[in-house]
This record gives sequence, C-alpha cells and structure tokens, in this order.
Amino acid sequence: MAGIYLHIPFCERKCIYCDFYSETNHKDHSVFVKFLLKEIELYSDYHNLEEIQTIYFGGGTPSLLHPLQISEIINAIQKLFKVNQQAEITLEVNPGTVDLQKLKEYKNSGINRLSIGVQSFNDDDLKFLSRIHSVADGLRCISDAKEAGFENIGIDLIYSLPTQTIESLLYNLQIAIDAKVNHISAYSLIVEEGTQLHQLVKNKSILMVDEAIETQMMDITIDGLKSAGFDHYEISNFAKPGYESKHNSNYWNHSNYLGFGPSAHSFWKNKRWWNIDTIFSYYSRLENNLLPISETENLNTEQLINEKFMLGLRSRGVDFKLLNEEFNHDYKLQFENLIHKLTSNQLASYENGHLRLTKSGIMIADEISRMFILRNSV
Amino acid sequence: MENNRNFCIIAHIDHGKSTIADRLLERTGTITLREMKVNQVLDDMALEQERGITIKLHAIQMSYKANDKKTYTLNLIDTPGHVDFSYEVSRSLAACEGALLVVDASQGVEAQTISNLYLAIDAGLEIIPVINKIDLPSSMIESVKHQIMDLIGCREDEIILTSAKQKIGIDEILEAIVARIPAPKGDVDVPLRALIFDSIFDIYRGAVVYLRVFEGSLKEGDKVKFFANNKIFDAEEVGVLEMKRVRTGSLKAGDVGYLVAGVKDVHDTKVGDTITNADNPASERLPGYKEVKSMVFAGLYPTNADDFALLRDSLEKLQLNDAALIFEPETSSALGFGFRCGFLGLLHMEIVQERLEREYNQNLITTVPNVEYRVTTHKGDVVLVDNPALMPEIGDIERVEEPYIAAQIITPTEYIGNIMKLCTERRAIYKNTTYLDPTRADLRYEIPLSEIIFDFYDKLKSTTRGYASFDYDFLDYRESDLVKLDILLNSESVDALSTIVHRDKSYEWGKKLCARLRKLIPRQMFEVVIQAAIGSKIISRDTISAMRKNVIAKCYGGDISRKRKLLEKQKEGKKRMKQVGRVEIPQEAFLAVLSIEE
Repeated sequence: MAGIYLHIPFCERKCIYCDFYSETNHKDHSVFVKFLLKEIELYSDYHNLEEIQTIYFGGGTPSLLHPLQISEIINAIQKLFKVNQQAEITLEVNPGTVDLQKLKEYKNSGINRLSIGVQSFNDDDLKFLSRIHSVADGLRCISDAKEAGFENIGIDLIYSLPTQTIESLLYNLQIAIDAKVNHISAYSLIVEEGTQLHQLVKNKSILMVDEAIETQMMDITIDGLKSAGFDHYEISNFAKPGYESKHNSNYWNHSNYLGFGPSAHSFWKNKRWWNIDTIFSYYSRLENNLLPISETENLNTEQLINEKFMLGLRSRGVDFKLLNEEFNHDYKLQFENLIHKLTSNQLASYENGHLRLTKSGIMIADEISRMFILRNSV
Repeated sequence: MENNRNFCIIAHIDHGKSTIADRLLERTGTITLREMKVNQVLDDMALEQERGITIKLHAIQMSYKANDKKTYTLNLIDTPGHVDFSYEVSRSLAACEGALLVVDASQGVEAQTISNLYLAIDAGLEIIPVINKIDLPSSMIESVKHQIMDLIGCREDEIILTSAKQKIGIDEILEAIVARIPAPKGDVDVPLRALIFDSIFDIYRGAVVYLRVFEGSLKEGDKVKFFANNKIFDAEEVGVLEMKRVRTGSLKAGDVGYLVAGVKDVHDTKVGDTITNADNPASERLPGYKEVKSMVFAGLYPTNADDFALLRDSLEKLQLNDAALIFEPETSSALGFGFRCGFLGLLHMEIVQERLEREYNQNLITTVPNVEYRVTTHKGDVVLVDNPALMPEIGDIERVEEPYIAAQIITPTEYIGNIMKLCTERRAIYKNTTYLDPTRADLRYEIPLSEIIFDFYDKLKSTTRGYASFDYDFLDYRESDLVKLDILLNSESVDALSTIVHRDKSYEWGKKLCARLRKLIPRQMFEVVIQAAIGSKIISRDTISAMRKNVIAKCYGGDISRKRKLLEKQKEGKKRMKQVGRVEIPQEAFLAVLSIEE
C-alpha cells in the first residue's frame, strides 16, 4: 500500500490564506513537467518496492496543467511503478480553470477522482478568500464533473470566515449536501504564518471570528454533515461510505508515499524527506541529476509513536493491539489512566483495543494528542 | 598601629559609594586606571552590578602618603547596602574606627543612610560627612548640608564636597580619613581577639575569613579557636587584602586581613564571631555577636521532579558562600520533593533564586514567601510554623503570633498621605513623624513583617514616585487574628497555595486569589473549580470552563513533521507545569498571591 503525490506549484493568483508553495507568473508548464518526470525517473530504487494504490495531483493548481500533460505524467508513473489497476487517481481542480471539455479530457487521461476547491457557496466569502472563481463557477464545475463521467467527487469548504454567519454556514452546508458529492473536506480557516491573511490579521485589518463562534461553527458542520450521511473520518474530512480519500488516509495510517515536485514530502519506512521549495533550485538540481531533497528526517521509535497517536486520534482512532505488537510494549497499560479519563468524560470511546475520539474529543484533538506525546523524543 | 585607619562608607544606593571607593583606590595607586576595566571594583558579582547594590562584604587595603609625609595603611571595609543585611552591616561597622557618610547632593538623606548611620554612631565611629555629585545641575548643596548638620550635629566646615565622577574632593577625603579617624587601639600583648566581618569560600582553600584584629596577634602556625562553636583550626595562611590576597604571615591588633585555616564550611566562620588563640585564649568574645535569623521562608522546588538531587547540590554549593541561607527538605503533595528555605529578607530570597537559576541552571518553582509564625495550641505547646501548609488545625489553635517590625520611612512631605493610606492597608501601627527639614519627613510605624514581604516596597515606591526610602528592624512577636487560607482545585487542596492571612482580610483575599488563579491557570480538558477555604468553610469560588476547541484543521503529508514537532515542543513546555490531581498548574500560579493586585 503506497501512494504518490505530485505537487504542481502553479496558480493564477495566490489566495490570501494559502501557505502551499506555488508560483503565479508561469505560463508554460512544459519545462516543469519535463523535470517532474526526471525526478520520478531518478527514484528507480523505489520503482518496484511496493504497489502504488493512489496517485494525487495537488498544488498549487494542478488543473492548470493540460490534460495531455496529466496523462503524460500518469503514463510515466504507470510505466515505472507497479500501479494497481483500480488505483485512486485524484486531481485537485480549481473551478475557475476548467470547463466540461477539459474535465472530459482529464477523465480520459486516467483521472478517476476530483477534489474541487469550491470553498464556499457565498460570493462574499470567495471574494474575501481572493478566489479566482464565483459560486456559479463552483456549481457549474460540480455538474460538469458529473457530466464528464466522474463518480468520485469531493469538494472543499472553508468555514470560520470573518465574512460568515451561522446562517450562511448552514446555507453552505445545505448546498454542499444538495450537490450530491460523496466527499467533503471542511476546514476551519487557519491563519498560517507567511500568508497575506496573517499580515492582515496582525495589523488588525481583519478580525478573525472569536473562539466561541468558531467552536459553534465546527460543531454545526460536524453535526450537519453527519446527519446527511457522511462519515466524519478525519478532523476536517467527511465521506459517504466507501468514498474516503484513500490517498489522504494513507497519510493518516502512516503508510508509505513518495512526493514529487517542489516542496513535496515523502515518507517511507520510518524515514521522511522533503524537497526544496523553489522551482528554480528544483530545476537546477535535477538538471545535474541530483535529487532535489531539502531535508531528511529519520524517525526514532518515540517520534514514530508520537505521530501514530497524533494521526490516529485525528482520524479513525488508535489501535492499541497493533501498536503494542509493532513496538513490543504495552501502551495501553502506559496510558491506562489517560484513556480512562478520556472515556469517562465522553471525549473518547474505547472498544476492542481501539481508542477513538468522540466529537467533543475531536474538537480538542491537539490537546489530547499532546497528552500521548512521549517524553525524551525531542 | 598608629598609622592604620580602618573605615567604611555609608551611603544609599546610587549615591556614589562605589565611585568614591574607585577614586580612593585610584588616587592611592592601589589600582591603576588601566586595571580598572570595569568601573566600581567593589561590586564584583555580576548580579550586584546589575542591581546596583552590594550584596557581599569585601575589604581592601590602600597605602597613602599623606600631607604630613607619613605613609598610612587605610583599610576600606565595604558594607552591603540593603536592609536585609543590617546585621552584616553592623559587624562591618564594628571593624572600623570611622565612616564616610556619603549623601547625594541632589537626593538628600535617605532612610537607609540614617539607619546605617545610627548603627555607626552606636558603634562609636567617627563620621566624616561627604556630599557627593555636587556637579549635578539638580544638586541642592545647602539644603543637604543642613540635613546632615541636623542629623549628626557637625559643623558646616566639616562637610567635604565632592564629585567622584569629576575627581573633585578626593584628596580632602583622604586627608580627613588620616586626620579625623582615630588610629585603632588595642594591646598587642594580650590574648588574640579578632572579629570576623565576612568570609568567602575558595574551592581550593576552603573558607577564607576576613577579620579585624582587636587585641593580640595572629600568625601562621597558631592554633585558632572560634568562639561560636569552640572549634579549633590551624592558621595556614595569614595576610592582608589588597587587590588580591597578600600573604604577610602575621596580623596584629589594629590590622584588617584574612585567615585561611582549613575550614571546610563557611558555617563555621560566622559573621560577628570572635577568633582567639587556642593555646592562649581570651576569656570573652568581642561584643555584638548574633546568630543570623531567617525572616522570610519559601519553598523551592525543581520544576522537573528528577532534578531534586541537582537542586540540593546547587543549594549546598550556594550555601558555601552564603552562610545566611538555610534550607531543609520538605514535601508538598502538589510540588513533590523540594526545600523549605530561610532567607534574611525578600531581596536575599530573590538573589538566591536568581543565582540558582543563572549560575546553577536550575529551573525552579518558588512558593509564596511567608514569615515564621508562633502558634500556641490548646495543650500549651508552642509550634513555630514556617510553612502555611503545616499550620495546626483551627480547632487546636489557642493563639497565633506573628513578627512585627519597626519601620522607618523617609519621604518628601507631599507623599505623607499616600504612605499613610498604604500603611493602614498593611495593618501598620503609626508611631510618630519627625521633620528632617520643611520638605522631608521621617515616619515611624510598627508593621507585621508578613505585610511587607509581598510587595510593600514596590507599592511604596510607586505611591511616592520613587522618592520615599524605607528601612526596618525586627521588633517582636505579637498576637494576631490569623487564619490559614487554603486553595482547592476540583475539591483537592493544593498545599503549596495555602497562605496565612489576617481574618479581616481573608474574604477579600480569597476572592482575589481565586480570580487571579482563574487567569493564570489555562483552560483544561475538564472544568476546573477553584475554591478558597478557611478550615472546612468555602469562602470563595471561581470556575475555569473546559476547553472547547483546540485542533488545527489541516494535517496532510507536508504537515505531519511540523505538527509533531509542535506537539513535542508543547509537551516540553508542559513539563514546567505541575499536575495536581487532574489539573495542570503553571509555575506562575504558585506566586499568584504576589501579583494579586494586577
């Protein structure tokens, strides 16, 4: 079980809240594709190690690539790696960059899952977020995707926006549910350092919603989507049964994955590394047949376990039976008091060796994760 | 002996004691300008320089060729400049025959100067009044002259005007020292009596005793005896104190110098004790010796329980140089294993805390400081309580007594109203007011010591814009209506947060303390109920509601490492928190009482 992530670092315009690496002044992406393919080739050591189950085009705005470029990349991967016939192949789509025709071509190039960045069904929200598309573009994109033959469609939503009220959030959720997509990622807005939003909040041009409202909005989002039949399988992710993002679930299960493209992260057998995040150094390294790696991290046992707790608590829970077996230590015993404390306060459930956070637990998942962090790991 | 002059300098902080001392050293060639890399040679501990105060005593010998063509040996004995150390001051004064009284021309006489001056007068010292900083535009020389004349009854022409900074008046000071301060008296041919006025710890030599010989003589090879403990040591090295220790082999009556005698523990060399010759002992010690008594107590705990042994080690090392510091192990259900420490005063406590943190890299939790109470039970037992958690049960207490101090406050008259208000809030008993001149008053109060150890000095400074000065002396123990106020978190009593307060103040105190703790204790996964109680009676209550949201929305492939590191870092930070029951308490909370007014 392994995945491949491809970081496509181009955007028409940078959104004020986004801290992913992207460039906005590149029109011709063919040079990039050339180097990306070269990087994939350089990973020959990994080509035959594990079957690839998922491929994910993220960004940036991968839907700025021409469908032929996408198919070129997929073909290269299929040629070099063992790719499962049923592999989930996802493309992140910005509604402002596609039409029906283009979506059909993506379908033909091998994409079988779309993650559409609609973000909101309120134009004021989209303006605030400095998105390049309108609500109408978003809705059209969803219906075009269906018409193009996509069955596995997810959308992204952002809430806790300063432009948002409880009413407009409820409206957003209703439209999202009515759109009949089978996956919704709903994020509470994060002010990331280095973004324009961070600057605006810092100089007080923007007042973020207060904590009580943010909590209420998270509460409403979780309840609303669950009652519409979505499974809340990760802090910010909701799926109809069978439609979880396999690729993202790999991250949360600590499975292996390779990341290609500037700033992409890879994780393989207790080792993590990530690429340099400027496109020209990325090019020049590959020009010289060097891997464009910026940093590598070898995780020790404590760090691995810390991540397993952190990721597990955020998603489908922590399986103590597996954990105890894998690391030959009774973590259940070690954390007995804490587990009891969590379950007796309805912050988590514990069944058959499996600890999973409840909704109120999820709301404070970071606090709870911290309690499971092992010492001496720094 | 007739060419010896032993003197000290009495001055308020910043009135120029160190600068004058530097000038004297420079003028007598004891130290060259080039050697004086750092100004103010006498304050050599970094902490002292930073705080502009002298904590430890030192002495230095100078050779001065006077106008009468004779060469004199001048011993300048330094004195600490803070009220916590008044006993040490008195012992330094006792080693001298004279004192320079230095007053800042722009500030006038301060409380501390007066109290030390009285100590000097009591010790029979010849006082040489000096007005310093006469070059300052804000100087008020005439007014300060009158203050001094009123104070010591001297003539105007006896006052020396100086500016140590501009090197004005330094020769006049030196000549006055020679002419006015009497040479030491004392018979060389009687048994040795030498006064210990300080000791330091040298890792190679053990305790180095700084002493003044009053009678007899001391030479290397002598067997010496310390009166306080009757212990006998061999005098290994004897000498005088110049910029460095200079071995001379012997000292005689009238001399100031040092002794190394293989003493491993500075607690054997108590300030104020008398040294005599073991083979030919004096029958009586020199007068004025006192066991130093701790006035302020606090618990010091390692933030990380594993560091207990390290903390003990550090305290032991620190104690080698600080005989006034006492400590003994104690346990707290909230804080684990730590030490109850006794200090001379609040400044002394702060110095110890800072030195432990800076010089010994200790991470500490300090409990709220308190005084020592004298509790009489119904059975008639008298218990000394230096830790509020150890107060006997209410039902067993017959009466509680607390230490009182005699306080002296000198202030510009315009602030008298503010000071009276502050003192009333602190249960002070007004005694009297005298006017030093039409603009300055000397107020006398009797105040429970517990009322000044929190933030009295800061409050006094802020309510008088820094103009008032303050000094105190221990007075006696008096009965008061005192109760123990406990703090409960989720119904569990936190022993380290208990305080002893006056009953009249207990309700307001409890309310404020709960409110303060609500601000200092972060939200937790569960609701935290804070209660203040006297005995079983709850007098105040506050609630910290449970944390409702603490989660970052996004965690994909590129976020995992960063997020893990953040959690690990937070975990490290949380190690500084103390867990009481299920509640995590940050360090600052244990000092909540100190910041209760904020």
